[in-house]
Amino acid sequence: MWETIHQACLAVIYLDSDVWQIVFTSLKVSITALMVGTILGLPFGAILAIAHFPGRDVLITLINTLMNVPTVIIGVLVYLLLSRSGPLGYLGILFTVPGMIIAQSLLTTPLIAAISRQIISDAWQIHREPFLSLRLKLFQQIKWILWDCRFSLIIALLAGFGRAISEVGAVMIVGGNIAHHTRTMTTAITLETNKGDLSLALSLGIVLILVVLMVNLFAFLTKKMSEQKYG
Amino acid sequence: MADITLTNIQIVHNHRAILNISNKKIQCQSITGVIGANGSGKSTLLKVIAGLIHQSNFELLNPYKDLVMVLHQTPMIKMSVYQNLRLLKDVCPQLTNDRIEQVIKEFHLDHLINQPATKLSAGEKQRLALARAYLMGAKLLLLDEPTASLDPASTLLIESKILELAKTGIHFLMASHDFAQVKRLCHDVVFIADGQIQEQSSTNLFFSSPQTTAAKNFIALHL
Repeated sequence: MWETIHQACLAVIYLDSDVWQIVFTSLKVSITALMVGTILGLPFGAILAIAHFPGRDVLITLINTLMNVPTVIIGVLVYLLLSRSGPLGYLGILFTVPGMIIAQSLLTTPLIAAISRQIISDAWQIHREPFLSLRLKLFQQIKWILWDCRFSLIIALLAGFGRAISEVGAVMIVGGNIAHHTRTMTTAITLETNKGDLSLALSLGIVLILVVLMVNLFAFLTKKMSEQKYG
Repeated sequence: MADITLTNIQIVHNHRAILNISNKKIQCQSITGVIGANGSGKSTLLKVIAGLIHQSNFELLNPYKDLVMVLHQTPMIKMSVYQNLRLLKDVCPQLTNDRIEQVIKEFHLDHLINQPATKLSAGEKQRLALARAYLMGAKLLLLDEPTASLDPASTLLIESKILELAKTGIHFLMASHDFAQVKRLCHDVVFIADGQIQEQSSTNLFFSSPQTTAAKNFIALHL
């Protein structure tokens, strides 16, 4: 075991171009899915938090459920949608990076929406009356409540990024784990472990942990500095 | 001077009537005090007039289209004092940066312009909330306990600002349980007890010869 760990550490230090490409593909897919999840999930979470309309409770239950759906289920559904006989088969994006981004966006969006809804609901209790008194319209209320909650919402984005970067089931099914094309860190780890190359699998795992650690450290420092400034 | 007519206002919470007004008119003088014991319905009445609480059966005839409520403790958005005022451009597009800076000076907030609004003292926050309401061009300001929990110096600043604005033609409806303050500021008084408007009269008349038993008891308890 120590020999494997030693080799894994060496592999991390001397990362070859193949591994860099895997890391790059992982980050590209996860960060894009995070951006899609942020653009869709934050306003959706805010609407669910502050607006009252028929079916709101159903939608809240739905996004809470989607937040916990196994990633392979999302993978299978996206596979069916994008396969040649599926309704979006004409796009020809099965086993491509855009297909993987779609699958991961379906994972990040409900998660970000659900967490942001909870955070914004709490803030809305405080800001509802002042916002109504200022005669802000719904769009403006959403804009300013999101802005007020921006530091707390970092946790929703971190959760979304964590869900995307660590996910293996959906990207494996939709991406197909094709070398130099759709292979990500998690799918590569699965493959190398199955092949018995534990040192490479472990070295990819170390890179994955380092990436997540750096993102969390950056988010933590940003949140702390901003909170010190604005309270 | 204009009247606000309230009809069929009934708010019940946990089987308790918070507000129960079948038909009443409130005459808004320059500064009208709304007084009553804690839980009598003062804040709720202001919120109904401001439209913050609304039910389909409420009938509210309010000649003041431009009214703003300043809450007891107005929470600010996590950004600077200037930005908290600048957000009003969303609802008042004609508002200029020069006008915002002018009002900041008028409300003695110029030394705090770039400070985070959430870190202001209670008095400074209340001045900022008042400045925000004033910037919106409101003709009627509804103030809910504007100086509660403020020190005497901050109270004096707020009171002088209210008097100054009243001279410009802005009307105030101000909930307070501070008798001394009501006597200092208000031209007339609306007395509310058990969710009902019991009487409205000039401040001097109310404190010297209250009409209702509830008002007599209330004054006797507080003097």
